[in-house]
Amino acid sequence: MKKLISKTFILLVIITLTLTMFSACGNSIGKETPVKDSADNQTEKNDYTKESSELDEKNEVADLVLWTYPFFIPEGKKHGDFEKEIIKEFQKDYPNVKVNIETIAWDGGPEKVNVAIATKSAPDILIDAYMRIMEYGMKGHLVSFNDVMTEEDKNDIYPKVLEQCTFDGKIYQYPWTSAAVVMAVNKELFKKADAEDLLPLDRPNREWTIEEFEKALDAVSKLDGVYGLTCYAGNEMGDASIRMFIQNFGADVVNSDYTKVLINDDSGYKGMEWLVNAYKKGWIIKGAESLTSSDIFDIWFQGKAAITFLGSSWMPDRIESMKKEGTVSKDFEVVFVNMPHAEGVSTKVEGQTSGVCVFDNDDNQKALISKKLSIFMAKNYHDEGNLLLGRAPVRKSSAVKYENAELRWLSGTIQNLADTGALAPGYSEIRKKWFPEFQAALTGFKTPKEALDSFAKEAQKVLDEHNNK
Amino acid sequence: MEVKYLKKFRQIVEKMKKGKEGYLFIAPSFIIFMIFTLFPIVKSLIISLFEYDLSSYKWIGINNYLVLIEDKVFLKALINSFLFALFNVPLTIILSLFISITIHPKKEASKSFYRAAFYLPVVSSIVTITLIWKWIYHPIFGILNFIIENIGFNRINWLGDYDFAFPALVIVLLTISIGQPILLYVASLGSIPKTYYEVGRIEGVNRLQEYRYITWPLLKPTTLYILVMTTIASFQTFAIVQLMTGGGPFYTTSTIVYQLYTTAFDFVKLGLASAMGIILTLIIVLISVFQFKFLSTDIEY
Repeated sequence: MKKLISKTFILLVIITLTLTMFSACGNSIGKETPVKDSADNQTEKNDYTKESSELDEKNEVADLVLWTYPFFIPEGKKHGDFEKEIIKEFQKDYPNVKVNIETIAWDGGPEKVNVAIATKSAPDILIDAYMRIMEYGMKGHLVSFNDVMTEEDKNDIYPKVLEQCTFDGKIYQYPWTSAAVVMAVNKELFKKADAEDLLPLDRPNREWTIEEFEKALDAVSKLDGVYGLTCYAGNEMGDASIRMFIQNFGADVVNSDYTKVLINDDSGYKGMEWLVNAYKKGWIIKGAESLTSSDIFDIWFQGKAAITFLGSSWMPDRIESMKKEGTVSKDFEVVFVNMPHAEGVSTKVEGQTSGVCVFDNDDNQKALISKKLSIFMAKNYHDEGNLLLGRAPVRKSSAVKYENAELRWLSGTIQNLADTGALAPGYSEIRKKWFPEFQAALTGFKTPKEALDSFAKEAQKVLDEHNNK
Repeated sequence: MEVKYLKKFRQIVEKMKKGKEGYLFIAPSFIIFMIFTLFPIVKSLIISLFEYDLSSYKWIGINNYLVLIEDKVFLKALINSFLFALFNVPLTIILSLFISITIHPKKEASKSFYRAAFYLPVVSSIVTITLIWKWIYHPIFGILNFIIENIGFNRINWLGDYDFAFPALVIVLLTISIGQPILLYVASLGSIPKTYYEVGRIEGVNRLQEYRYITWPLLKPTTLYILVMTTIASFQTFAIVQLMTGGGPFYTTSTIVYQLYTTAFDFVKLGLASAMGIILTLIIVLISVFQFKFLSTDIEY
């Protein structure tokens, strides 16, 4: 009996193995399946026939799936309600187009999209931030908007924004909102330290040098229980801001054609050394090596640090609500400033656009309707979306004007975006290499130079691997 | 030759027909095992021989395994996984045995209370538990730092310090691990016939000798089960690493499963991640076989 069972088991294993080989790899075993050449395929894929583009809108039939992160949450409503309202309007012209909306969580959402792509169950439309969207585009999973965007439409979008949406001449993201990420200052603490005049608030661009920044940190750190600056190395979230701080010493993360990592030059070393020294001096909050970008907001809100990275447009509203709840000081006042820059270096601003992309699910007709819906959402509801998020408009024609002076200033900075390297092939892997090295530098396990060199080496390896594919 | 195989096949079918009730009974769990365990393992084994991302397959033989052997981060994660098992398994067994022996003689009501209290982390969401621990360990607001500062010590960055991050995670893992063993040990202690102890007392054995010669040997089957299951769970440590340290500081707390997750779902290198999975499977199988072979010889009483 034992023999019989073991034989049956072996037989079943062989059958499973055989079936698996067929199902796992199909006819591609033993030979490389070429990666979709985005440029070549797009021309063919987007060559929509006249017949299809001239179809009567009323007769267009499609079942679309739209995934969105919880970007837009109108007051008193749920995630996805804003998108649903837009789709209702779209369906007035396209009554036979059904759209199934699913909100995916920030945490685990990118993994969910990756799994969906791998299992050929990607949504038709996705609302997301540009670095992820562009990575999908570079890997050939998206259709471009080139065929449906007019010159007039392109000219209406700020050039720096359009740059973030374009790879190899293909526009993979139809932009909707953008957000500059600067430094946020708790002005109340500077008032208490009698150091308000050390902030660059009277300058139109709110730029300041490293020396001026140091003076401000030194003054405010003298307050009891207050650190000058927050910082974080707990995970990869918000990593671009720390690197942007180093970029403001004159370094670039990668070269313009994304083939060489450049951050470990003399100016890069200076930037990294500055951060480590500031940590040793006590200007930067203790425990930064294990804090994450979300931890630092609590620290900043509670007045334990005067300046924080990741200053963004959602802060003024949040602080007002927190004042009403009594969870922050009633005198808490947020002001935004640019990151400090080294002598002779012009201020660089980190920012990211978010928008809509359409997956290439081998159905031209569906892709076309998806693109129409994407444009309908991001163009017709451009201002509503931005006002809802307090973000900066991506269109020159926008009528968005913020009453809040800070938001007004912040939305103006979007025209000075610097390259964070987010469009480099393998960027999601590169950024994972950052925080262990930054941790090593902050804890003294490595010197700033060693840590930056090590990051550059690992990042270059990833870059080479992806560029050679 | 063909006739010989046909004959054998017929014999197998005949034998299966005779035991069809038995096969029918095991069929549901066997089918589930095939689909959700064996099939993924076999598929992982195949994928591990390919360079496989979202858009292409490329046969590369054992190259993924060669890459892993040279990958310092993976080797560090491998060592950390062993260390997690090395600390967590004995501590889990010692602590849960001690707690079980302590609560076993108590009245039924208090016994139930303790069992429920220690089992609570097992049925609670791991996310909730880790978030609470994260707050306890928080370098600025954490209650642990608040306490040690008030008794005159310096604050410690529990999750950011090379010396403390790993032990801090072992403690969290321990709180999650001991619930199930306590329940099992208390049940096993209850099933030991009282007559054994009575005979022991007549023979003049003291309390320590009772544990040494009666309780411990009779708990061996339970201990073996706990040993195997806790070892497997320790090697699969993931959620607390993902949620508390992200593998840091500088890979000090990274584990194989955490590396596997990031490789598969962040870097989309499914071939490499599958190779990690296969290595982990082999390690767990080898250790389990070793544990069964060397620890299950004298469990029959």
